[in-house]
Parts: sequence; structure tokens; C-alpha cells
Amino acid sequence: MNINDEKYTYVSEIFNANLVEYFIYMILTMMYNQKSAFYERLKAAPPESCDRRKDERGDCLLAGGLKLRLLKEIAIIFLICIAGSAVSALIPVPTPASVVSMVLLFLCFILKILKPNQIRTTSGYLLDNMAFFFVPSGVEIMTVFDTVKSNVVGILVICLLSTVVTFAATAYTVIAVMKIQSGLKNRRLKRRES
Amino acid sequence: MIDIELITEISALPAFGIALTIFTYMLGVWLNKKTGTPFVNPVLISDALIVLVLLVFNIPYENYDIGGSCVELFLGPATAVLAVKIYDQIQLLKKDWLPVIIGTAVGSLVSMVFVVFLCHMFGFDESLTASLAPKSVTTAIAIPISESAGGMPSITVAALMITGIMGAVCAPTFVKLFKIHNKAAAGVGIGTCSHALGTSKALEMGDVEGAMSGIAICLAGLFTTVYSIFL
Repeated sequence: MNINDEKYTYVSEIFNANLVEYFIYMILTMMYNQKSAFYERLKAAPPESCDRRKDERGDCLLAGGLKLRLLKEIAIIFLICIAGSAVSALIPVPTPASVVSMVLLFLCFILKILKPNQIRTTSGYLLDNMAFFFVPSGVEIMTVFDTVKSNVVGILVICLLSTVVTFAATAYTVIAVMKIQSGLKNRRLKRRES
Repeated sequence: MIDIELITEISALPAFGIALTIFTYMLGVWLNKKTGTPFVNPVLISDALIVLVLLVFNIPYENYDIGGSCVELFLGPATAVLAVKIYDQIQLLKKDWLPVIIGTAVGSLVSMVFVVFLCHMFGFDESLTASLAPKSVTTAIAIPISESAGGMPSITVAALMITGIMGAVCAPTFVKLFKIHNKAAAGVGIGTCSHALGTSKALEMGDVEGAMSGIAICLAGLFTTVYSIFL
């Protein structure tokens, strides 16, 4: 009985191993077939269906459509953020990494290293939903509520008043300087005419 | 309050923080659309609801933060891609660079001086004044400023968020109240008084306002750093 059991187990082990290998082979073949079918479909796809419109989308090196393009855009944006953090760490003055990355990205646009259309979709998404990303920071202030409990009303009043005053001061200054500039330009034009 | 261990375990998942943030924000957006006033701000409602959930279910803030920090992760890239909007407006920039610079310089000076003046009127001590002074610039600049001036960073963060939310909520009201018809001036004003949160509202108001707001964040931060040397 014992020997029979061993033989039976040995045979069934071989059978199971072959079964597993066969299944793996089947799955791999299916994947390869599907993959080649995928590429066949891509090659046969008419140019309009692919995201290769030059004016709106900019360059699209990979023909993989939307999914790969978005990944590429995310990669570019995160690379810029890494560069911004690196530069911000090197500058002796404590600077915010996000603002430094914004300046870096702007420089890349000016120096034509990057084109805005290369990150248009992802940047549009991030900017449209920017308020959403601020929610956890708001929740964080509940942890400090105990420290400021006595002064809460004062802080709120100060924040509101100073926000209003700052806005008014800034906006009116910008308008005033614009008016002075146009006034000077008009005076120069009048002097040339007379 | 409800206190079950399963809730504490589930809330420690990153998915919990992310899902809670998204659902409350969607609710806030729906309420905002329904009521139509900018005072029903999605960020405000989302914050309030999340705090409510954390308090009712006795969830420690650190558990929510595991998911919340995942959402905060995208704040850096979101600020960086403001450069796209700014580059789109580069013609306007070439024309109006001087008013923007002078406006930001004056605005940040007024902000700091006014805050210090009000703090003295309210009788706040030095440390609290130093924490509140840089409340109009972006977080990463304001915290080092307040620390080096002897303030408490946590209060600075609270003041920053309050200012930002007030700016985001009241930005259209300000524009109407002060009759600012020039879009660039409105944008610079919003960016100077309420940093990146106000910029998110400015972007909704228009491309020009959003771009100018983004520039104003940089310049205001720069000028406030310089002014804080004399704080």
C-alpha cells in the first residue's frame, strides 16, 4: 500500500507539473497572440484615430494612444518637480520646491526645451482640480485648534481684514501703474505730434 | 463617540484617507453647484465633513494623514504646472511686467504692515504676531519666515489655510466690490493676498487671472522674504 501510494504520488506529481507547464505555455501563447494582434490593429489604424494631430496635441512619439501619452506627461511633470527640489536644496536661502519647479518649467518653455502642448492634458487636469489637493492641509489645522482656541476670533478677524486690504491695495496699485504708464505714453505721442 | 478597533484599522489604510477626501469634495462641489454662492466652497465643506467624520468615529488624525498625504503629493506638481498658464499669457506679461512687480511689492508690504498693526491692536504677543505676519505667501516660504522670526509654524499653517480659503471664497466678491475690471489686476490681487488656494479660484475665473495669480505667488514670496528681514 505504501509503495503504491508513493508511485501514485510520483506519477501525479509529474502529471501536475506538466499540467502547470502546459497552462503557462497556453497563457503565454495567448498573451503573445493578443499582443501581436494589438500591434496589427495599431499598424492598420487610420491616422485620425491615433493621437497624432500635430497642432493640438504636440508630438506623440509612442503610438500607444492616450494611456502612454498620459504616463509620459506625468513623468515629465514629476521630473521637473524632482529638479526643482534639487535646485531648491542647493540654494542657500530656504526656497519652496514647488515655486522653484514652476520657475524651472517656465525657463524650459522659454528656452524651447519643452513645449506646453507636451503636458497639456495632465497640466489641465491638475490645474482644474487644484482646490481638491488643498483639502488635507485644511484638515491638518484641526490639530492645532487647541493652541489657538483663545485667540480664534482675533485670528479670523485679522485674516479677513488683511486679505481684503491686501487685495485692494495690490489691485489698485497695478491699475494705478498701468494708468501712469499709458499717461506717459500718451504724453510722448502728443509731444511727437506737436 | 464610537470606538471600535475595526474602524481604527480601516482608517489606517491609505485608501480610506483618499476616498474620504474625494467623496466629501464631490459632495462639496455638488452643494456648491446647487446653492450657487461662492461661500459654499467645496474645500471648506470637505474640510468640515472630514473633521466631523474623524471626530465622530474617534479616528486619530495620523490615520487620515496616511491617505491625506497621498493627495497632498500632487500639490507640488500642480503648482509647477502653473508655468503652462503663465507661458500662455507671455504676451500680456511682456506688456505689463512693471505694474505686476510694483503691485506685488506694494501688496505684500501692505499685508505685512497691516497684520502687525492689527496684532498690536488686539494685544497679541510677539510670537503670535510673528506667526501671523507672513500669512499671505505660499506655505513653504511662510513657515521658514515665521520660524526665523520666532513664531509657531502650526499657527502659521492655520492662518495660511484660513487666508487661502477666505481668498478662494471671497475672490469674486472682492472683484465686484472694488470694481476691478482689469483681469490682470484682479489676478495679481488674488495671488498676493491668498497664495495658491486663491490661484485655484482665479483659474476658475479665467486664464489671465490664473496666470497673473501664479506669478503673484512667486513675486509676493520673494518680496515678503526680503521684508521679513526687517520684521
